[in-house]
Amino acid sequence: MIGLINYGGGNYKSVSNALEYLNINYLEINSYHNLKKVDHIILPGVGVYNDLISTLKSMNIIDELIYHLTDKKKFYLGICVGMQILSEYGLENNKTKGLNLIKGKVEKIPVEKEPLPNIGWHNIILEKKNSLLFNNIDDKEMLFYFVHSYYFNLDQQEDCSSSIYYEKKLTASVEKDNIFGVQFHPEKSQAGGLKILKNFCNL
Amino acid sequence: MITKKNRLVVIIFFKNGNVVQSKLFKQHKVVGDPYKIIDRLSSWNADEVIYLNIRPELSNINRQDKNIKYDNDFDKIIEFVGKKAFMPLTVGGGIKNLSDADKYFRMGADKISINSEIVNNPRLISECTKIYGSQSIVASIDVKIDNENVYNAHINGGKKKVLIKLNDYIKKIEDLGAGELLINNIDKDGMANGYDLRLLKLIKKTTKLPIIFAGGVGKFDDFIVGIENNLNAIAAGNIFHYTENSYYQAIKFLYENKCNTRPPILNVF
Repeated sequence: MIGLINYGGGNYKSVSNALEYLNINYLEINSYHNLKKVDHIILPGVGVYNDLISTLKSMNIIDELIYHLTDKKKFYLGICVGMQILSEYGLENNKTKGLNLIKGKVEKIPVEKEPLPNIGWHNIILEKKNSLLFNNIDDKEMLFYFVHSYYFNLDQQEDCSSSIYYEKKLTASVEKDNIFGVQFHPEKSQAGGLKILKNFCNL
Repeated sequence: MITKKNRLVVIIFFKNGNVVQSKLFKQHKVVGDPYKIIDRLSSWNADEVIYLNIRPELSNINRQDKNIKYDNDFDKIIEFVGKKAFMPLTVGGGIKNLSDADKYFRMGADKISINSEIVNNPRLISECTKIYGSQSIVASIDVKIDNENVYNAHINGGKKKVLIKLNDYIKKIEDLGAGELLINNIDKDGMANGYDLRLLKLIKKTTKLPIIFAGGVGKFDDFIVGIENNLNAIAAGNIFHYTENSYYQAIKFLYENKCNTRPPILNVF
């Protein structure tokens, strides 16, 4: 069963609409008790790093989530800020500790000319050719919708499964064992994006 | 290397729950089925769509007025569209407070567009950016040129001139925290004679925010002119109602002319 974390904000509705369209059953997770009932966990996120962490703290869900990902090895897909909080810490608004599951920090995109936020479609560059998340997606569909001002600056490039260029090379997605994260919005990236969600749910 | 694509943005105008073509913000011609448009946009693999309620006051009051025809309810349309829009969806028109904003986000909007409240209730923008992030808040500015050849922002569907200078107005919007600008040009609306490039350059000089620029597109070449002038989000409304598969034809034209857009794909769903 797929668990979709609903913390009250973000784009829960957009992701749940996409899952319904794909005929994928999911369980809405609004308390840590439900985490044990699922084997895949999706955390959709629109918004701000420190807000998301403090909301998850108030739900008492963080320790339980880490337990299910590290000990139980459940599959995790973090979207946008849901990916960013996998890091050691984030620098949006104030320095905030993350889940510390993938080494690196989340910081503002260093741009000189290009506008922030980075809004729009990017052709991603696959760094992990065999990534199961990108299985069966042809080149024409390897375009995804991004909306962000902060990016995941990874310590270890081996954790990066795809990237984009926005003046400099930026992390587009991460992958470490059972843990996946995408900076872009698969639920808003048309057919290619829906395939990402489907691929994840089929893991 | 560049991985970012230019985006072709569709703006759909609603009045009394009907989809309309608009001219000079005054004349409105009803076109199309408000519920079916989203399926067409999906099958054309559209980059992005904006649903704008251009006369929200008509939806809230005068409901009993027999002279006004209400075929559909804007909110019901958005609720329907939110479930099917697997593309970025912006909703605007008549958003006056946090509960209006919350309503559209809950229906599946990714961004909301705020126009008149920039003047009437500027705190709404800063409050929204705190909750939803600045990337979710689009400041919509309707621009009109005055007798002295000066551009001015207008609110209330183009009816009321904003008293501060356009440059200062944009700076104020930046300070409030909006993440993107949606610029529409009242004098160009429905005229189909190309974008106002002087206005585009002026706004690009004033701000570093991403700009969605609309008003005046009458042929696909007009989009190319926008891109050549460093416009990343080319937008239009009326042109997409004229021909069959118009969006697909437009993106195909741009792609074939090496405009760095996404490739044309038909019937992906």
